[in-house]
Amino acid sequence: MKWGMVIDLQKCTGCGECVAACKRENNVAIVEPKESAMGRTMLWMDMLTIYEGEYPRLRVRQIPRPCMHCDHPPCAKVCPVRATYINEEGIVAQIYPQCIGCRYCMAACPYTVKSFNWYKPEWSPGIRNTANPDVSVRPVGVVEKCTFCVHRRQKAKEQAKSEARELREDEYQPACAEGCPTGAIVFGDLENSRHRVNHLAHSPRATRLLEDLGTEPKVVYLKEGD
Amino acid sequence: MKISRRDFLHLLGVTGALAGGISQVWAIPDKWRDKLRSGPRIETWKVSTCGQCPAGCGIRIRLIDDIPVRILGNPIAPVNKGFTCPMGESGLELLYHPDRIDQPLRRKGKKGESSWEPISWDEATKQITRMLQGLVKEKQTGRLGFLMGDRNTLLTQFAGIFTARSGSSNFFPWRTPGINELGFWQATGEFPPFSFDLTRTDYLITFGTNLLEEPPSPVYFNRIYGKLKESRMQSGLKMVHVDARMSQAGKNATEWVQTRPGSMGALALGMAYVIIRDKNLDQDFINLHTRDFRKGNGDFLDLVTRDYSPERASEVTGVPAETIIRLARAFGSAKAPLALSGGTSDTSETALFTQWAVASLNALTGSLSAKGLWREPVPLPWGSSSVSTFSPRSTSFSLKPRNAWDTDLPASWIGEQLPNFVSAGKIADLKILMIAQANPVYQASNQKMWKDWLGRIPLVVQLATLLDDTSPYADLVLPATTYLEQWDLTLPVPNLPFSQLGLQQPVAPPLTGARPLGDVLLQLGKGLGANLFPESDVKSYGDYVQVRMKQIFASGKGTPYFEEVSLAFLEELRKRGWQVYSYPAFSDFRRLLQEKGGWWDPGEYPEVDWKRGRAFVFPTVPRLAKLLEERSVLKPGEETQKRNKLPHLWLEENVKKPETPDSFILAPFTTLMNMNGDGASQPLLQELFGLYPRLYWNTWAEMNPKRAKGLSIEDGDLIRVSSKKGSVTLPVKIVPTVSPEILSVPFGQGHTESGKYAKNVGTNPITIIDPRVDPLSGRSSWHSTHVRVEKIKK
Amino acid sequence: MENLSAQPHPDAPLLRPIESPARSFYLIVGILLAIILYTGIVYLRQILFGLGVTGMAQPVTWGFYIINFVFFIGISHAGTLISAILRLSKAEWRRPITRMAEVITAIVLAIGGLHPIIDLGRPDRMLHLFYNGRLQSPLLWDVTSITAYFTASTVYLYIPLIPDIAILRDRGVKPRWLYEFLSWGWQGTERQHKVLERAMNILMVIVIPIAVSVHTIISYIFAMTVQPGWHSTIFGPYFVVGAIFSGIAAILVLMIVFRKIFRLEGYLKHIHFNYLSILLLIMSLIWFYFTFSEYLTGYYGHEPNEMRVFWYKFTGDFAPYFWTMVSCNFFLPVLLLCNRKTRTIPGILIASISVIIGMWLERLIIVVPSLANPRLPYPTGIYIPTHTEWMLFIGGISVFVLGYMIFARFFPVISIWEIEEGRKESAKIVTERISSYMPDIEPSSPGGR
Repeated sequence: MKWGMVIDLQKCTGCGECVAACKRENNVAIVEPKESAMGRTMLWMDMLTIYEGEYPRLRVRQIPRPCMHCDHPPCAKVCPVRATYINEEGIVAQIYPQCIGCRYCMAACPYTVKSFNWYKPEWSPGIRNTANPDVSVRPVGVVEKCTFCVHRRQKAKEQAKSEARELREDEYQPACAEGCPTGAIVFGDLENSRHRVNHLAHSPRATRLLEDLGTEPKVVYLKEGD
Repeated sequence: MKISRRDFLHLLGVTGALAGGISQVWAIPDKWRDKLRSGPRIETWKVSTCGQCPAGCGIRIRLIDDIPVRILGNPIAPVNKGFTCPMGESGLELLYHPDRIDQPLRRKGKKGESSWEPISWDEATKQITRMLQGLVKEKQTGRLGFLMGDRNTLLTQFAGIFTARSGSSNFFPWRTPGINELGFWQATGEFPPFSFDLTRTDYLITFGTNLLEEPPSPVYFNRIYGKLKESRMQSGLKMVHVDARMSQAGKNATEWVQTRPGSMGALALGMAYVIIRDKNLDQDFINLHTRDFRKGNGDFLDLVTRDYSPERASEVTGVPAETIIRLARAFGSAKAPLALSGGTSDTSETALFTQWAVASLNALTGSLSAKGLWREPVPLPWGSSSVSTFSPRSTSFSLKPRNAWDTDLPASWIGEQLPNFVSAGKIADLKILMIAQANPVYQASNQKMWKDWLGRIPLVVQLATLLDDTSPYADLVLPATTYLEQWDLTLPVPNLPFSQLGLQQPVAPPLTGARPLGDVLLQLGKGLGANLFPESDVKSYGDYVQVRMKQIFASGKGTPYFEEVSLAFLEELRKRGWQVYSYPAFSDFRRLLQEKGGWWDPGEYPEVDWKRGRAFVFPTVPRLAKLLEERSVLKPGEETQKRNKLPHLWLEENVKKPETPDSFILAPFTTLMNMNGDGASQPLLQELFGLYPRLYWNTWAEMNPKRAKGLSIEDGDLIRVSSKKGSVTLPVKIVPTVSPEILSVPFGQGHTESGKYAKNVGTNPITIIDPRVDPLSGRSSWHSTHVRVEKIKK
Repeated sequence: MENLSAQPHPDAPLLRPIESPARSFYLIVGILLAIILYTGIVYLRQILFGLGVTGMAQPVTWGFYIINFVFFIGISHAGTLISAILRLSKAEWRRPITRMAEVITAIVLAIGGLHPIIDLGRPDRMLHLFYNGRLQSPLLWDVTSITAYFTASTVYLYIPLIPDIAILRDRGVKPRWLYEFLSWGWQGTERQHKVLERAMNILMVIVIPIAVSVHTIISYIFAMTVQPGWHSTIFGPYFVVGAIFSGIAAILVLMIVFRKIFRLEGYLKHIHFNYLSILLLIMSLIWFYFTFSEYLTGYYGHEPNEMRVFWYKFTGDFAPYFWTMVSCNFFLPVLLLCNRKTRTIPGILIASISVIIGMWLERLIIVVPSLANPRLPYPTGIYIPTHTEWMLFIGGISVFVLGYMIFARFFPVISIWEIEEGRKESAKIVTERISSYMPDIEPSSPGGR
């Protein structure tokens, strides 16, 4: 089993819902303006913009960027305490209580996907009510990043187990894939030929970010076709 | 019992999972989640309809032990099919906002000062009722006004009824016009505008229309754009976006055409010139269903051929003549071309002229007769309701039935100009003004006028969830509930090709002290001695919603939302007299509505019927001149200039160009994270406000790289942007997505109130706008301000 | 303090600071302690509130702490490595230098070694390194090698110190218990000398590879990632060279300072400075050679991400630092040290200080630009260190100065017994050694053609 994601840039309109859904689902702290201006905004799912050419031939590409969940994760390689590691289903996971906050993984990640809790995350008393109880809030001083909403996998797995059946594709979808209005984000098991990602990942339009680094990302992008 | 290590670990895992977490990583809820941790952690779901914008998206709320923790899309809601936008996501932040008002507040200091004393609801209602009764006694009920931000719900109509029953016609709805609203209203008298089915077009050209970030429904159109983008690889569909700035709509189009702000009408007419010259016309449609294409001196043909050759249009718009010709040929030869106007073309001094010209393109090329492309605005099950209109002749407001207003304009267009009319003595000053869901002191470009006017009105009552920028000018602020705590029905979304009524129901108990706006109005009506609904037993706004629901039920049309099945199958069912759901009694129907989240009518997709005596009227020289004369109240003081010039050329003079090397045209724009400035109260939206330029929680100025180079400004530099009205300091973002002539600044930040997350964050570009008005529609212009830019040393 | 010894010692200038310390000593210690106390408060604040009090952010997630870590560890190479190499190569002029160099190592290593802990977001979980440690992580190699180096170099400092402590003990210098305890019953017997010699020889051999490994491994922290500007095979030797380079500069500065304060002109003669400064000059050239190779290969490879970092250093935001570094590390020292006229003590002092500054800048230039220029199209990161980071830097330097002062207060900064030994035996040993190099005179030689 190898969980992976396909993001079809031809379908994606860059609306930013994946970013918002991710923040809400995973209780990612909202960093106040002053801190934010320093570059401490935490986005597990980010939106990259690439400008190509000049007007009138200008093309703007918007690329939603989750964690790539590399098969050879440069971050897990350097972690001194196994606070980030690749699990048996291919998800590069974080163990927050184990993280010592050395930020080596952040320095090593070529995709710059990791965020650090520079301060203790704070919410207003009311708004903290809206936190997702399935996901822990990270303490100060640890690194965090996209987990492919692994808490949903656990939940779905247990459900499937209690019903003595296999996990279905639609049961485990991360918040970004679930929320994408255009259906550009598809999630599933890359090794399961019944899952859509399995076919899409072999599309001639398929490409990966910084492919030449040999990190083998499990997030596949489908290039624009026009 | 002996527990082995393995058992223990297993047990740990199970309890961890039960506690909502997984492994050690997840099972540690923060200490403030005590309640949830100790509670039984029962997960429930409720459905409702989003109220953050007028799009009417169905939402599904996840509750843990009755505390809402997440808003997701309702998968069976026809508009959004299970998806939301960032604004929808952050609704709970509004519900639980730490700064929500929980009791009525009376202003302590002078107007404009935000110091308050809390009073009781009784006291507050008494004060208002006393004033209202005073008006009744003096027979001056006409001096009550109601400014209502129209979120496309029943509540707006309800407030209109309240105003009317209180004896006043001064109901001022405040909203962004729909796509094509100005143009089609002028050309066909149709209001609300025709709907369109984007999936049927093979050539889409959007004149300033940013369907992806602005009303009517970003989620719907993002969904459709995704489909179009996918299918265009095969179908070759062209999507052209015309605007000075490449908004999200431009980024997702196949081509972006830079124009000067306000000049898009000239571009459309330049295209019309080429289409006419090439004889790429839909002659049948023109002959049968249009007027004034050819009528004699100054007719449309004359107007276009004389003044809009591609070369001349190029001069006005800045678009090369070859591009105009190319666009016109492609548009003219498409089978189902579709030209849309809205967004930035609504907020210029040529707003109505532009939209009319764009609408004319559709009439010329057979777009309007293309099969299935244009749809009738679907009527409500209880028949159409009346619309608040403004008569420029008598400068008065009235509620009139749809499409029967003669020379009146929709009142929502001219909402911003109210203080101007009052100070010009055109309308009598008000004694009481009620404000709800609108923030004119922040949103209007003539903020100074608003502040003065609100300062003069003896009693300004605001109903709000948070103190906003307008509150300091109110005498009383009454705490209202949010859309997540009250009953309401969202009305069909303009421009969308189907009828839908979304049910809003309370998903959380209302904040103690806050009351639903509808209930407050009912109570005030009772205090006046005027029963607002003599015909039925309406004790609360919830009852009123139920009355409407009964009418839907009685109409026998449509069905509660249902899981997606093919429409053909549904049609089959319908023919046999079957329904997806069975609801013999109203109570069943109501229960279904509450379970499913709303009602829709998938069967009715009527195409626009031109045989019903409708006619498309082209803009002509005499007609433009007559309209300018008739509506001179909208923009007084420029009569002499008008007489000396042909009307369209006079209008065109309002297209601005930068004058000096450091001058730009200020071009505010709106984003999906904020829309009309309301989103600023929510931290998630504040952070994501600058998602694309990565300037979170901030306002920035977008500048073209060429101009930046000329001014030796680098990305991230601070600049001072000054107009005649004042100056603001902004960081620069150098992007190729704006034309060299404009300086784009996002609208939505720079609140002086609106809660702790909005207060004093960023800058409001509207404050330095030169408040100018479109003389044909009364719309405020956002694109007429020259600004000078200078770099500030860091 | 009264002179405790009956007869004047031949190396009195070395004992004077211990036996009768100057009053200004206490004043400076007081000032340093105040600075360190304040630094402690600043650090406490960081522990309480988190690393937010620093100027680090995304993407520049490493800042002053890592820079100073690399810098201090680099300086630490001064000592043990140089002293070991000089001892090993039997350079006789080493005698007054080795002690000073070794002390630098011990103190600076302790400070530098603490920096990664200061940098941790969760210092409370430091022990995870031991019970959850992953040996595959270069950070853990670092922990290992720095610990080893610290152990080896303190022992290496201490062992040759024993005879000197015994001298102090014998002269009755206070606090007696200290010298009593630390001298380990040294009586100066032949056997003891033999053991001492033996231990030193073993340590010398051990300490050199450890020292080389320490800096190589620190470079591996960077080189083992795939980040542009870091992922380079040259990094190991480059860092070692840089470390020795900055180390020599540090020794030179300290020698000049002590020569002035303790009036050691009789011990630290011009020849010492001359030799060391020539070594510094050579290291400067080697450093330049490495730098040149590193950037030239990067430039010719012209990999876009690599080039983004390259231009950021050469012409972008970091250009002022980059060119200052090149001037400080290459142009200035080479100009000053090549010319015999400027290779004077003031000239050497300027060159050394410039090298220290330059090497600190080099660490800055290695750490920040690669992080500030991520591969994907993110905006360039900005790093502005805060008051906290500056204070911890100043505090670190203060701890070094204080540590060195306290050492110099209690122990001779120049090895007395080695000097004595040199006086007694050097000439003989050197003569013997030289004659052993010389080709033997063939007894039956006809005496040339």
